[in-house]
Amino acid sequence: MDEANTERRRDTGLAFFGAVTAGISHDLNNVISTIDQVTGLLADLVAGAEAGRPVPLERLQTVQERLRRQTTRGAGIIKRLNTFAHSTDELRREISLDVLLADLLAIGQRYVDLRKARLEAPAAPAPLRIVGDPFRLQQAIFAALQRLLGSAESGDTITVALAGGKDGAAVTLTGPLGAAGSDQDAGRAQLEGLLAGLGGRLERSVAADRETLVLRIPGEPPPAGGGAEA
Amino acid sequence: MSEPKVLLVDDEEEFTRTLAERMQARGLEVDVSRDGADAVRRAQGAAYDAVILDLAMPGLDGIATLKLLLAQNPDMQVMLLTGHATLEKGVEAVKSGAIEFLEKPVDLDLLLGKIREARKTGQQLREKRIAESLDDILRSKGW
Repeated sequence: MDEANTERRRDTGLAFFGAVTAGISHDLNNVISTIDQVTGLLADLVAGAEAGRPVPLERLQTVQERLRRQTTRGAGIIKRLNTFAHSTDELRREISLDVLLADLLAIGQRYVDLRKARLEAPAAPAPLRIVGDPFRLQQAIFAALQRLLGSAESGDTITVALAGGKDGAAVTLTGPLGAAGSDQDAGRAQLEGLLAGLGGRLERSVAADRETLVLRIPGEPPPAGGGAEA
Repeated sequence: MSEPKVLLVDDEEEFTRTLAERMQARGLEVDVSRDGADAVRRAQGAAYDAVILDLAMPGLDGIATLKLLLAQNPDMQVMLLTGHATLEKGVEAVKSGAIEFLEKPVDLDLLLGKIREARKTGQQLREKRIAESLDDILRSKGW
């Protein structure tokens, strides 16, 4: 790979890392802001009790339940952030593809919601492990999702499915077809480049105003005994 | 004088519900919207002293909603309350007509102070417009 290509790859990787962490920081800020309001509500109730207005038990239970929901949500976000950040640690490692995909789609859900679209991703029928580059793999899947989301309107559905084979895996994304143009071409070229960097390829088809992107990812199964997970 | 009437617009349901409860406990009248399009519908003909908008929302974002609200009622006092507080976004919001650009988490007393200021400004603007209309009528009729 020449120097310009290496530099471009580094730039798109950084842009992807930035986009994901910016989205996660927004999600975390929403959790903190909600906890801030709920603790404020608790302080209001305490002040009321001190002034002689007793607090009904169910009111306290509601506050407790809200705090529990938000801390659970925050813990999930931080766990995904941590996993995502560590996906840059090694260029080749054992990847639990079904777990990686579920985490990545949870991160991408925010962008789906902003489009008022729906994401359908049935759980993988069985754990699927390959050896590969987890960061670049996430970048490719995310780029495919963003491409389909770019054309999504309120109520549109994007489906994501994972399948394994003898010599790797396939992630299939289907969503609304975008209008032809230079942006679409550039996005496709970027996706093809990302998959080529992984030693894989993109298969694309169009039917009834919907585009299907099959991301073919090569990867030998992990050695017996397993190893680190993405 | 009655307490202000406020429209809270944010897709973070639990955040909005709790903030609304705390405001209502302080006597404010609070309506809640989950998205920009619903906020624009609610604000049509309603006398809100302040509208508090999130920036990143499903469908219409905060800036687009702000523009539609002001096109509907140029005197509407709209504040952005967001976790996306960048200088760039703040400038865009203020250029688009927002009276404030506040960052989450927000202190309730600070927010209530801004709402009361907004109500005062809104009342002054309405009084000014009434005076201007009366002036126009008097001038055009030549009384």
